[in-house]
Amino acid sequence: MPVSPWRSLRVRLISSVVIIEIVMLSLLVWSNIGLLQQAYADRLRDSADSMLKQVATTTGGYLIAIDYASLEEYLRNIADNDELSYLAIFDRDERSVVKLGDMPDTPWPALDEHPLQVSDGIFDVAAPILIGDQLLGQVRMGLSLTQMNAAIHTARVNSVAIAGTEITLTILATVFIGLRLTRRLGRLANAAQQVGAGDYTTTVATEIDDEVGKTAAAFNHMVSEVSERTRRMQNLLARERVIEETSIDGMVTYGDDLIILSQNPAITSLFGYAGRALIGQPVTCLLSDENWEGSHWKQPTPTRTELTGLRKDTTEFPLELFIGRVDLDGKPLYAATLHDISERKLKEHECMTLLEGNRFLVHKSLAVQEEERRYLARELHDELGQCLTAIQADARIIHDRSGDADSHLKASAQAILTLSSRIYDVVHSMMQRLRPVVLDDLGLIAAIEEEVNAWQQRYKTVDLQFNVDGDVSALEETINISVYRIVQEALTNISKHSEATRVTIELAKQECDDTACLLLKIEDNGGGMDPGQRNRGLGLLGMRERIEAINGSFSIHSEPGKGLRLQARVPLPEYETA
Amino acid sequence: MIRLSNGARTLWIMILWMLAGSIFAQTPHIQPAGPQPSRDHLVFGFLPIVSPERLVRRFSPLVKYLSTELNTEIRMETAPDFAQFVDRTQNEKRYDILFTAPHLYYMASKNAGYQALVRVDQASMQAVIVAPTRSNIRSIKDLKNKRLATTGSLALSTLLARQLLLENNINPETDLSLVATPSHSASLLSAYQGTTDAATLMLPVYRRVQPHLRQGTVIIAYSHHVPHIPIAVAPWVDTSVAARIQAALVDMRKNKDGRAVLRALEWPGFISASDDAYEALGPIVDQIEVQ
Repeated sequence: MPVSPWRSLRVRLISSVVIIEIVMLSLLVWSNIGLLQQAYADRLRDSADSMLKQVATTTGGYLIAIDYASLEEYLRNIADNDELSYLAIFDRDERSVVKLGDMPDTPWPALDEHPLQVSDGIFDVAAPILIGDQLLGQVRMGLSLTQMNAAIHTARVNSVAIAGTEITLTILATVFIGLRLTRRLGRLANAAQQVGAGDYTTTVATEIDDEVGKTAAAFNHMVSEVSERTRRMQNLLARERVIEETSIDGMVTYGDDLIILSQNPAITSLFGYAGRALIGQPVTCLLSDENWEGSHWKQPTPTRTELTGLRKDTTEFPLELFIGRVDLDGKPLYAATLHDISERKLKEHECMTLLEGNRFLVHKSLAVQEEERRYLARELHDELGQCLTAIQADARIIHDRSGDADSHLKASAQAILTLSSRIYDVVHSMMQRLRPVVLDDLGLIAAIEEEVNAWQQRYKTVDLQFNVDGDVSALEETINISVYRIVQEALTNISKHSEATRVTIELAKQECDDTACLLLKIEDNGGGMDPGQRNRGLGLLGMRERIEAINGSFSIHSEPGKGLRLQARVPLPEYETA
Repeated sequence: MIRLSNGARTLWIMILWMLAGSIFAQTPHIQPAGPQPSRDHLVFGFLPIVSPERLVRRFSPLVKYLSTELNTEIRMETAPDFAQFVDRTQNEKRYDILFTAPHLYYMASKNAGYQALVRVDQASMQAVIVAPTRSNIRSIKDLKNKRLATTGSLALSTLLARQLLLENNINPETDLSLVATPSHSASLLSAYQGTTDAATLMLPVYRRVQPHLRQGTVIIAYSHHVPHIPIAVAPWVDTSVAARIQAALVDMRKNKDGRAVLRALEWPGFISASDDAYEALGPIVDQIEVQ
């Protein structure tokens, strides 16, 4: 298909410049000739006016003196003008008294207003000759337009010649520059096509430091930049490709329509799809969770979310999903990372099992320990207590019967009484620590009150408050002994480390998550501690183990200098709340 | 063809004569009294005492006044110089009305029959001879072998000075040099600046010159008095027109327009003039070569 020559930049450029040049120069020549004609005409009119004024104002004296000879001589002197065709002076009777030049035929031609309005080639003008208001005659002059017309003609010819020359030179220069310019632009266009085809080694010679040369230099720089950036981009893509292809996590990208656009190799092994079979499939086919709807796929996740993956063979496995979003060309592009957590879940399950076992063992251990303590306490109470009582009874008898006769024996009996009493106190104290009898006899509240009172007796400057809220009298043995031991250990710690002046112990039965629970809160205003400190002692660790062994939760709230608050929450079996 | 009787013809002639008389009574009529130019206007000739332009500006109000009073066109004319003016007055008969110097009027009267109607109502004129105060010239006798600036051979001041020199036994042709200048002011300046030793000019002109010129010069002699400038008419002007001209000029000071013209001329007015007053100028005129 033939291409119109007007589609060529070269043709359009040259044609436009030439046409504009011709039009503008024609207008310029036409305008200049008009201005020149007007200027010549104005100059001729001004010259005529000037001569008329001079003659009219200087010849009155000659006329009043009837001195025409002198007048003619005077006029010959001042009328030395090549353009003057004729000059005539008329007296008051309109008789010509002086005639100079070529007089026109009578009747005298009509006067002209402007040289451009002259039709006979002579610009006829006249003026009255006055002295004051006395009319003494008239001066008539005719100025030939021959010189003006010749000058205008010469100017016109010169202007046309100059315009023609300029047009010719313009055409030549435009053609030359146009060809040169478009040739270089053509080279630029070819180079651009080569770059577009991926050949970044292409360069264009700048040749001349003009606009095209600067454009070529800029093009070369741009190609260099594009080449460098492309290389960097390719490197970056390669690195990211390596990451994607070697990653054990599955990765897919999808658009707003949830259709998978790309995938990495790991997703194949993760979900069992061969090759790039996932591309074009909806991303929702990767999960089995019914609650995870399509809209969730469009919400970037701040953290990894645990979901259930669905393999091609419909088997399920746990996974972590992370969704990110970027906008490309105003459209969202989502990237999902799917991490198989089957192994981790298995380990977690194993850990939980071990933890449960550990807790069971601790629970059993504590139960055994408490049972042993109670046994020991009972044995001490039943066996050792009976023996001591018998010893004391015998010693009393010996002491009483010995009287004053055998003072040595009496003293020994007294010593036995004193020693047995001390042993009894020690045994009693040991029984209290091993297993407070009151806990079994009167329950948890009484046992804590007894412990509190005993502690208060030892530390009378401390304001110790014990408050109970709710019925906590029929609790399980393990709960009772755990709570009691925690109170006992806490008071021991306060007395050892806290230097508190006020201690509050609260025990309450509450509703926790629709079930009944026992809340123990021990708070003091002592020196406190750093909860993050590792070497906090075995006391607090033992408290936590006791509570967690009965499925409770234990927390420590403290800051150095701001006291300490221990809080234990223990779920109560259903039958206990009834 | 209409035939009229003798009586009717006589009556028609009388009616036509009366109509013609009434027309001529309204329009000034130039009565031929010898060879005269034929024209429908009057020509007022003015002696070129100043440049033509100044002459027109000075006397055109007077001409316009007279033209209005006479109800006829009056045109001003002058001549390039005194000699041509005298020639046009006496030989070419150009001027119907004449404004000229007293001594030239005397000539025009004697040679061309001009008749003075009025003269300026001012004291008679006289010429003076002045010399620079720095010079040793203090009397007319000191002028021997000196240079005396004058205003041309036909100027009244020159003629009066020549008469004065002769009366003091100084021959103006041999005992001193007469230097002609274009005007009275030029004569005075030539003496003041030292180009000449003394100058002669009319006394009214001397009185109007700049003060430093008067202070730098001193009058060393006064001439005889002569009557003031006359206005005369040519002999061919009708006596009735002449009478109307005389009446208009004499009565100028009696009407507003006339007084305005006189103020511009710096003249008090005109009075009737007679030839007797100018007879005394005969000896002076005798000196003029053009006579």
